[in-house]
Amino acid sequence: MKMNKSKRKIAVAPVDEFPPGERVEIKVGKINIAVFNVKGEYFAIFGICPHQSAPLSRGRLQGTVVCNEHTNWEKEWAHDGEVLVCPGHAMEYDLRTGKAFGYGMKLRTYDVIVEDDWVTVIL
Amino acid sequence: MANSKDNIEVKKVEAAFNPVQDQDLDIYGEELKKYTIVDVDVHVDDTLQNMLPYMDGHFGKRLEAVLEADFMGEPHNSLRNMIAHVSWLGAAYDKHPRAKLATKEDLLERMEYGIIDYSILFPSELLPIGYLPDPKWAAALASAYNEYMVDAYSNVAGVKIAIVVSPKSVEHAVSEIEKHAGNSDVVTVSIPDVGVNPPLGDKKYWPIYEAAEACNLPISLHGIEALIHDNYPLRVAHFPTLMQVHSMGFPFTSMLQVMSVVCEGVPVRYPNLKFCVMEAGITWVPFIMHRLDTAYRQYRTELPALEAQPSEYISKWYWGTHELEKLPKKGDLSKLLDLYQGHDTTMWASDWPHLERDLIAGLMYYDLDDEVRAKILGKNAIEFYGITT
Repeated sequence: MKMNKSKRKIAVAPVDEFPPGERVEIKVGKINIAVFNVKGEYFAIFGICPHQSAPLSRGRLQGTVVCNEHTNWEKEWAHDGEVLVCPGHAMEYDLRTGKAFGYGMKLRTYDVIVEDDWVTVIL
Repeated sequence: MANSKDNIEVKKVEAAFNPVQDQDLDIYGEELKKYTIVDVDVHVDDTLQNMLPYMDGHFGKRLEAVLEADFMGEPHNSLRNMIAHVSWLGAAYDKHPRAKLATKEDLLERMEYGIIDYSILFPSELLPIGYLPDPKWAAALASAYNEYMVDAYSNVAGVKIAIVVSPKSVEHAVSEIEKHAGNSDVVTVSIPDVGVNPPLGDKKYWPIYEAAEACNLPISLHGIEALIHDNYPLRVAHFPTLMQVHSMGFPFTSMLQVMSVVCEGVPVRYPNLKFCVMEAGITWVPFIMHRLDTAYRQYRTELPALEAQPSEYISKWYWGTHELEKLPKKGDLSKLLDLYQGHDTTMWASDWPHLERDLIAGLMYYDLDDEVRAKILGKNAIEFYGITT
């Protein structure tokens, strides 16, 4: 019989204490999670860069440079505001998917809901 | 903010304006305290304005003019920005601005944090000095730098100094070595290894090596990835991205200098003189050892002074780890050390606080025997630099 694992919820902050533009770091045991409010939308991503363990919660949010068939193989600035740049050595992660730009690797992302007026991360 | 039960911590943080440093992290606890840690590549604010009080007359006026240059680089950092990197300026516009220049207070704060026991201070601004075409101007800058650093950083607990010499100004270099050798806080002679023609094995530089050996000071070669014209003995100016130039500029220049110094017989002529290479990574060390050995077998008669194959001499060189490569498996560093016999010669280096600096987690990631880790973190550096206090 397949058991449904009940998901753990971490209540992070009251909604009105976590406005757009702010970010929070959660430590759950040994796991770090970085949580962001980007223009009213919440994102949560595994919080330690696998390169040299820099804290991704301190990373800048900006865009990045892309170059692919959709840009006709020209360099363009894209994904403004949704690229998390590691404050260690500038590795970039898509905040929505956790995918590292330019690497075949992604970090775990977590669902974030608002429950009882609290921003809540679901592990 | 929110709850702290069940071993959960929540805290508000802010985006880091400058790249995070080891003291921004909170992951080490007691683990590192058992090691004596020597960071062998540390940089402080050595912008030209600091050297002005130590230069007068003709060269003082020249430096005043340089400081007035309306160049849109770091304030007062005109020399380095004018002759290094400028072709690629702005290429990495999305990155952090250059990391904050570290003041003495920043350095002391870093050391008081308790991870780093010793810092070896290397030049930043004068790394292109080998390129400067006027040897007297280069010599004047080197003298002023050395005086400034000795004034500012002697007798500071845990802080040691690399004096810089201009390879084009051999007599001056010799006098600088002799002048500062008596200071126990001066632990090495830094020869910036880019832009200087001929390469560093040439006999014209041998008085520098003779003086350093006589004064019991090791030589530290420190590079810079890109000069505006030419990275002599390497050409990188034609590569369009700073990534390419950065990746290859440091290690290939250093490799060519290692080759020159060893093949010209410097270690035979000055057997007690120690050498190290800074800021070129370490994965290429086995390559240079064994590639030179291969050619040596065929062409030994061109190098009759050598009494052993090149790898035997190179195995005695020391290596600053930065930029420490991230190898695929945790066991890979140990394999690499085996390949170049680097257990007793590899020294942890961060390049703090520069943009590319390594965090100590980069070394701790690897599985190493505790004794080897202790050597890399500090014991090898204490041996190489002769640190006693």
